[in-house]
Amino acid sequence: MTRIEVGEQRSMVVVSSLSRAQIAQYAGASGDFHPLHVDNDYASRIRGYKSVFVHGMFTMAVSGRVLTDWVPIEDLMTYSARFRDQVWPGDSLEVVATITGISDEGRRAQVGLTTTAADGRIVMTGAAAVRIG
Amino acid sequence: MHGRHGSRVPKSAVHRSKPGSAGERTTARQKRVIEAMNPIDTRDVRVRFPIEAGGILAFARAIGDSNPMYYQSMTQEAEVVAPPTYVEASAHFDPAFERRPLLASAANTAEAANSPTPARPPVMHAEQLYRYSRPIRSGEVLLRRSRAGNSWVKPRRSGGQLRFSETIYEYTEFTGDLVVEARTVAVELLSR
Repeated sequence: MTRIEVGEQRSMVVVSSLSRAQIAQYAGASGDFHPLHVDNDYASRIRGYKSVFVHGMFTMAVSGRVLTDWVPIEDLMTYSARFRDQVWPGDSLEVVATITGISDEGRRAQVGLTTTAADGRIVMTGAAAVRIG
Repeated sequence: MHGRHGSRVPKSAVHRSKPGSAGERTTARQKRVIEAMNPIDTRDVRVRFPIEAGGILAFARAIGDSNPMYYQSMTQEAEVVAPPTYVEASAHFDPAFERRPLLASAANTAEAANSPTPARPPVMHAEQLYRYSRPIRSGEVLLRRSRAGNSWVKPRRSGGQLRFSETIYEYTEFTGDLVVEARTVAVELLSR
């Protein structure tokens, strides 16, 4: 990641029509089987949601792909996320990463991330710091 | 530090438990599992976290990441780098982790097993932060320690109050060198 400038952007579609099988797959890989994510009866009838929804950490993980496809993973210093809305089965997600600042005498870049569902809902905002130069 | 440990399991041995959640109640079964599976030191609430190439492969598939660096073990002996959020899979090695089904348990239902009682709003994940010293790779073994961080209350726009609770997880080498620090913020609705 060289000659980076503030305002530079990368975007990526990271989920195309999320399936319940993908939610279950993430539950298995992460170990988190909270019934809000894997038990539709519990999520809808007991909790009042329209269906199960995927783990926030799934959204953070898939959004992080825009970082690791952009910079070497060794250069990732911090990565943070704020979960703003549920991601439902059928949702498609796009993440946009923007260079928001350069510091440490040009050796570090700050990145802002916004992950948006196809219907316009912002489901996650995030930030990262990466080594550059 | 790594020597004897008593049979008493401290309340803090249940990770990620939120006030009022099912996780606050450590069952006798969980205590036995903790004592049997956590030989390092239950008092320190440590989780031994082996980084495995197969775990990394399954995690990369689950997040739809086709980057070849995560799949090297399919074709060669390799130290495979893990995705940035892979440390979440340490839950597999946490004997007290409360969000997986308990087989052969009468409580193994969605309503009763691993979730807050339906009368209470669920605890939700609000924020997550990682600080990395370096990437983690298959073949190494990390130690995870957790501790409660700050807790604060804020009014909710639509009424009621929200309580935020922070948990800090440190993933270290056996030498004690910090590899990844994770900060989790959970939120629950206190009143409407």
